[in-house]
Amino acid sequence: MILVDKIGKTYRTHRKAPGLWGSIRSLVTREWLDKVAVQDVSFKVNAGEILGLVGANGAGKTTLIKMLSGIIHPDSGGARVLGFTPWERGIEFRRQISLIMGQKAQLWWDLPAADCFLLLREIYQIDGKTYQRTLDELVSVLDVSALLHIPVRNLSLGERMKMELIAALLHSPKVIFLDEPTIGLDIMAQRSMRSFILEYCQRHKPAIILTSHYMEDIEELCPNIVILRAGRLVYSGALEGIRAQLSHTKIVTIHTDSTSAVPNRRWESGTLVESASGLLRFKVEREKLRHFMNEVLSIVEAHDVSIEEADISDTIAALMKGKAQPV
Amino acid sequence: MTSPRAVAQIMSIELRNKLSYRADLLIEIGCTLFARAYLSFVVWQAVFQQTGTNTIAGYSQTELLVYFVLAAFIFDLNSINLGFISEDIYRGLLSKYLIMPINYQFYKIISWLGRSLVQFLPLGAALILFLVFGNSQDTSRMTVFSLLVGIFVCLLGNVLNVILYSTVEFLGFWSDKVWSLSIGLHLLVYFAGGIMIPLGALPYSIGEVFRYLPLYLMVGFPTEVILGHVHGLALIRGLLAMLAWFVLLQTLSRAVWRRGLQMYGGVGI
Repeated sequence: MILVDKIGKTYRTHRKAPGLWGSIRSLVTREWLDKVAVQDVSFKVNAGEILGLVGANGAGKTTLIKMLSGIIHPDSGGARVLGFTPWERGIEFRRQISLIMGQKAQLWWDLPAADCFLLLREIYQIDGKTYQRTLDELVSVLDVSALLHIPVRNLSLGERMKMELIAALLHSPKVIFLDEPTIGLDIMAQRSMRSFILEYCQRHKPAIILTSHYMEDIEELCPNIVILRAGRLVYSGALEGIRAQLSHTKIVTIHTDSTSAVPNRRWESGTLVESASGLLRFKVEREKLRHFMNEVLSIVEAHDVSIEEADISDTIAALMKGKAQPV
Repeated sequence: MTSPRAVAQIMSIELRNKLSYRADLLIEIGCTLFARAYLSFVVWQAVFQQTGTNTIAGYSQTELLVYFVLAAFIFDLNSINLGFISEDIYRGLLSKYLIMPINYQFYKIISWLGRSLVQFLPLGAALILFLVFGNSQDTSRMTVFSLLVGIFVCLLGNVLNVILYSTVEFLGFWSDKVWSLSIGLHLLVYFAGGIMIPLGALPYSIGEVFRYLPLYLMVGFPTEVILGHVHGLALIRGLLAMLAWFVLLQTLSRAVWRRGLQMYGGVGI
C-alpha cells in the first residue's frame, strides 16, 4: 500500500545573525543553509498495519509524512501510495488518503464540527447513506454527539482532536497519516484516542503511519516501527525486534528488609540503578543473569524477586540519540 | 470536477463563517455604506455647485453619487482577496487544502462568492430602492436589465480578480511575505480601476488605455454596466477583454502554481 524508496528532502533556509545589525545585514546579503530533513529512507506499510514513525524533534518525521501525503515534493528517491505518486496529487489519490496533524487544526475554526462534516461530505462526494452511517458510528464510538453543534474554537483540545478524527475518517480513507494525534492530550484522552485508533484499524484495515513522542502510543499501537535520526533511517522493523536485537539488559528488582550492605558494594555482574527503602533495582546483562542471581541472593535476604525486560523506550531513545547502534 | 452540491456547500459554509461574527459584520456593512454615501454626496454636491454643470462625463450628480458608493463597494469585494493565498502559504494552511480532492484556486473563488453574498444583500436592497424611488430619466439610465447584467459582470470581474491576485500571491512560495506586492496591486486598482470617478472623466488617451486593463474590468466596468452607461457593442467589447485576460492570467497563474508547489515546504504557525 505504501512503498517508500530512498526518499530524500533538503530544505533551504536563510540564517540571520541576532540583533538589529543582523537584521540590517540580512536586507543586503543573506546566508543560505541547506538542511537535510530526510535522506535515503525506505520502508513499506501494508493494509491493516500501523507503522510507528519515531524520532527526536527535527528527525524528519513530519517531512516524510508531508511527502507521502503529497503536500511537498521530495528532492530524491520515490514513493508509491495506493499505486499513486503522492506529489502528483491526483484526485483519486486524494480521495483515498487522510492526514491528521495534532498541532494544526484542519477544521473550520468558527463553525460547529457538524457544518464542517457536511462540507467534507460534498468535497469527498460521499453518498448520503454512507455518510450518515459512518458519522453515526464515529460519533457514537468517540462519544461526541453533544458537541457536534458547538463551534470548533470552543472545544477543548481533546474534543477537537476527536472531531478532527471524525473529519479525517468520514470518507473511509485507505491510507491514514497521523502526525502526533495525542500531543497535548491528558492521559485519559490519550488512552481513548489509542483504543479508538486500534479498534478502527482492526475493523477497517487502512494502512496507517503514526508519529508520536509518546512511547505508550508506539508500544500499544505499532507492531512495526521506523526510527529516524537526523533524517536518516536507523531502524526499520518489528518493535519486538528492537528488544531482541538491542536490549541485552534485564531489570532485576529485589524486595528486602536489609539494604544497608548494598550501596557500597562492587557488583561483579550487574549495576545497581535504584536503592530505596526495601527495594533494590539492578541492570544485568542477559548472559550474566544466572551468575548475578547467585551473587545477589548470597548477600541479600530477598522477600520477593522480579526479572523484567529493560524498558523498550530506553532502547528507542538511545537509538534516536545515536547512543546505540542497530544490529 | 467539483459537484454543484459541493459548490453550494462551500459558499454556504463561507457565508455561515461570515455570519458567525454578527457585530463585526453589521459595523462593516453599515459604516462603510453610510460613510461612503455621505462623503460622495458632500463631494459631488460641492463639485456640481462650483462648476454649475448638470453632468460630468455623462453622469448626473445622483449617478456619480451612486457610482462612487457602488465602485467602492465592488472594490471592497475585491479586497476580500487581499492576502487570501499568501497567508495560507505562509502559515502552512495550504496543506489542508492540498490533501483534499478539490482545486485550491476554484475553492478560493467559490469561498469568495460565499463571503461576498452577505455584502451583496444590503447593496442589492439599496440599489433596488434607488431603482424604484430615486431613479428618473433625468437623473439615471439604470434599468432592471442593466442591474442584472451588471451584477453578472461584477461576478465575472471578481473571478478575474481572484485569478489576478492569486498569480501575485503564489509568489509567496518563493518569498515568505508578499503582502507589499498585493497592496501595490491594490493601489493600482484604486488608481486605474475607475473607483473615484468614471474613466470617461479622465483624459481620453489615458482612459482608453485603462479601459482594457483588468483593473478597470474588475471595478469600473461592472459599475458602469449596472448604472446603464455601458451597453451594446461596448458591453461585448468589455466582456471579450475580460475573457482574454481570464485566459492569459489563468495560464500564467497555473504555471506559477505548479512551479511554486515544488517550492512549498508546508511549514508554518
